[in-house]
Amino acid sequence: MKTRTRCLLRAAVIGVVATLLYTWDARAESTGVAQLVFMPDTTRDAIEVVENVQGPPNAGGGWRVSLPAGYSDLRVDGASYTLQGNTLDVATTDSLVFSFELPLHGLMGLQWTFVAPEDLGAVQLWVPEDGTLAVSADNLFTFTRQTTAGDRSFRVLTRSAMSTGETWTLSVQKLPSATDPPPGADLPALSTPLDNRHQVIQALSNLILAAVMLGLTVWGLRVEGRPRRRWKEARPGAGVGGGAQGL
Amino acid sequence: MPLCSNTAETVDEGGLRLLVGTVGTACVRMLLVACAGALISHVSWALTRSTRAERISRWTMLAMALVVTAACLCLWYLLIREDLRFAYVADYTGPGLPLVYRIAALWAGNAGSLLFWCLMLAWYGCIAAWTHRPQQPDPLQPGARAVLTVLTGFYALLLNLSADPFAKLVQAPASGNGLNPLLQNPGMMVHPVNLYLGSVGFAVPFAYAVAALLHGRPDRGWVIRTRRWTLVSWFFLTVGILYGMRWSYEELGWGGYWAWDPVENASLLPWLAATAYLHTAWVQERQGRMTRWSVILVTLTFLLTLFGTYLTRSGVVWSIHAFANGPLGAWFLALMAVCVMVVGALMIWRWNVLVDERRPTKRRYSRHEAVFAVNNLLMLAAAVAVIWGTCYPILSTWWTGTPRMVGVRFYNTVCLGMGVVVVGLMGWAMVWSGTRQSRSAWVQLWPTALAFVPAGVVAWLLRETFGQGTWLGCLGLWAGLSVVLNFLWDARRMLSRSGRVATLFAVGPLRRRVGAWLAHVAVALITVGIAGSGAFHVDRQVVVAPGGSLSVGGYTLEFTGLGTSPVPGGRLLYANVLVAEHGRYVGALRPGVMFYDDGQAPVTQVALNETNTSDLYLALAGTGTGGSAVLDVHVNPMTVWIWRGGYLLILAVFLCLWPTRGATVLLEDTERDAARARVADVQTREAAPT
Repeated sequence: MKTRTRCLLRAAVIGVVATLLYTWDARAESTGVAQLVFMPDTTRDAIEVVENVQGPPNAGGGWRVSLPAGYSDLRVDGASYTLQGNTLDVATTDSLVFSFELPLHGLMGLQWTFVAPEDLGAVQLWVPEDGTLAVSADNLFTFTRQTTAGDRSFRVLTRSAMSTGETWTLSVQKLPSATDPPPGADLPALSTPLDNRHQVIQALSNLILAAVMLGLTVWGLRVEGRPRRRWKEARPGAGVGGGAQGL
Repeated sequence: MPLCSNTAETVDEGGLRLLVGTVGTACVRMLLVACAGALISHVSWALTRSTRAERISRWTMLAMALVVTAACLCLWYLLIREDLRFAYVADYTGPGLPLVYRIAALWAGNAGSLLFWCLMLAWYGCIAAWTHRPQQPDPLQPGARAVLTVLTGFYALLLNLSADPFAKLVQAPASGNGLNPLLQNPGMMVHPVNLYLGSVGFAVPFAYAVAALLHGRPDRGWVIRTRRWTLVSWFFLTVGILYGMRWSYEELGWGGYWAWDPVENASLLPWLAATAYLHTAWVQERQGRMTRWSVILVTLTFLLTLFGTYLTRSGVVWSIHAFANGPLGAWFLALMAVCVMVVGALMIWRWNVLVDERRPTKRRYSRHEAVFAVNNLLMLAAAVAVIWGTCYPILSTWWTGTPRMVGVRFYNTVCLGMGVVVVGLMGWAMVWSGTRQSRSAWVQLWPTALAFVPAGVVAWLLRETFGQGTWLGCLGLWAGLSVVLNFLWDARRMLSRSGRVATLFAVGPLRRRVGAWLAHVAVALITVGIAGSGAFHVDRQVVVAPGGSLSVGGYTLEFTGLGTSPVPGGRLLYANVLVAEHGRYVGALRPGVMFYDDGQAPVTQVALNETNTSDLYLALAGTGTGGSAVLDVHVNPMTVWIWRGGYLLILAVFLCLWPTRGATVLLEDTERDAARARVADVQTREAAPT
């Protein structure tokens, strides 16, 4: 029952992803696009990844897709598939949808080196918005967008072009689902991070301090630069501080 | 209709931003012209010595500063309005970045920080020129202005040829890269700004030193004129370093505040030289001695600021602070080489006039001079050791083909050893406070000797309690107490004369002395903090399951479980840890990891409980199966005194910087002495048989 539900969910997501792919970006028409959809497995310390690679139209030749080490339960176009090694050779040049499972290990989670199977105009990472997964990688645009597939809401992260064979390291972390404070949270917090307002106050305080010190320096330079007048400490031979210790 | 209006408005605003960018580019180009004009005017003034030429020279300094300011304002405008057609803006801003960090983005990247550096240099030069009063002829002004203009011109050249902050992109990206989350911290407004203010500030004493050599007048005059510049630059550098330590401590999550990272070392190097120079300048100002030391140390300080810039911008060493690899390293190496050659040649040329003004009658060296000479040698030795350690990967690559690094142990062994001696000297030097030089040695010694008692008791207690002591910490404690007792001794004497506490702070020279005492107490506090946290630091990394507990350094920690909470821009994963001290719960700490919605690398969020005696420092290093957490626990004794020492230092320098007219008198005395010497020289020549 559980397996069937998972298969149905996967098929639904794949369908929606494939539909969205055609309407996503003008660049998808001229270059390839890869989409990686991450779905946490609620029963095990693992994630399911659905990868949808869309090639440019009328492109010749096949693809060589590299799968990450430790993958399991590979399915290509919904059908179970057994593969020797980590490389999937595909003759088609239109599109390919496949999925697999990857194990996670605590906070370090998963480090996965994605290899571009062809020249890609963009790579999208679909991360569920329920806060159960965190994905990070270099070269991502800071601009993200939200979308829904089936009844699930996803945040879509994007990076720009990758050439064939180029690698890209992704980090995936499964977060605990419990959001309620654990027992003992009623005790006073001994350390709280500064909020934005306090951060701004702290930053401005420093600028004011720097301005005061510089102002004092300029004032001192002006005062010390004035022509000599009679001052009680201006005794001949007294020097600054009358020979006192001072900086 | 509203749609049309909006579109028109957007086009107008886009056009305005483009115009602002063009103006910024023009300002950067104009800066070169302004520098050339300023240099010509300074030379003209030096040759003609006319009032008009002086006025023109002063105005050209202001023109340079205004042109750089205009360029900075243009870049700030583009950063705030997030115009992604400009490469620098696209690299360092992004959607949702708060205004304060858009402003800070100016110095977050290579080109912007060079522009910011240039801004400060131009304004420092402008202030140096405009605070000079034409009624009081200063023979060093043209030379100093020329050196500062040449340095500003160097940065203008870099901005025009190698790091254009207004470079445009062929196609604007959909969104900016954003500012690194680690840099989105109030420290971004404190640490770099102070370091830049400090590093750039040393250009002014350096410029005066070069001018003094050029003019053949390396007497006390240039030291007195630049005392404030030296002090405020040293202050900014110190505060910048201290805040950098604090930032690293709170943000990076490794439990310490100084990692001997190459760029950290790059900020320490000029500080070591500058501290030595600060003391040497005092001797030269008061006693007219250590003239060669002053010139050498101020040059070294300036060169080391350039060396630090070279390290951060050349990419020769890896560092979390460094900017991306670029061609700028060669520029800075060239500038350093030119500075070394020019100052070296000038020193050889003027070696005969680089002599002390006053010579003691009985002894070859005064006590102050001897102490400060040893202090200088130790500071320089520490600087050489740090340079060696920092450059070892580069040198080993040249020799063996593979980069090798020196460990933290190397730095700690060398620098802590020298630190012990320097702190010891600091406590001892107070014995010879200038006001009591005439008293007998034994009378002078008693406050210093008395300070040994509590320091010795603390050393004994530490050894009994923890089985080990700390030489540096106990010496720091002794030095601090020695300074305080000596201060109280002198204050009592001063109060007995005037009868008013206000006397200590009201009269300029005394205020300066109080400031100096406070500065040394601050350094002693910082030393105690460093020694305590270094010698008695406890750290453990443990995997703990929910409900599990552990005891570290007198604290009992109970881990109750992991939690997540949504925060703006992402989600925080935290470990809830209950803290008990002496069997009583005192509160909860929540070390965590911040995960960002936009896929940026997660950032550790340290949980820190600071007390007067020790810091409890927790970082979440990982999670395991079954909801367990990997906790990094550190107990760092006395760390809080490092930051408190920093606050005391601010007060101390504030007192020292407060204007006093004594310097004018001293400067006029110096000028008068120099004039007399020139007249005597002329008379001697005239009297000599031809």
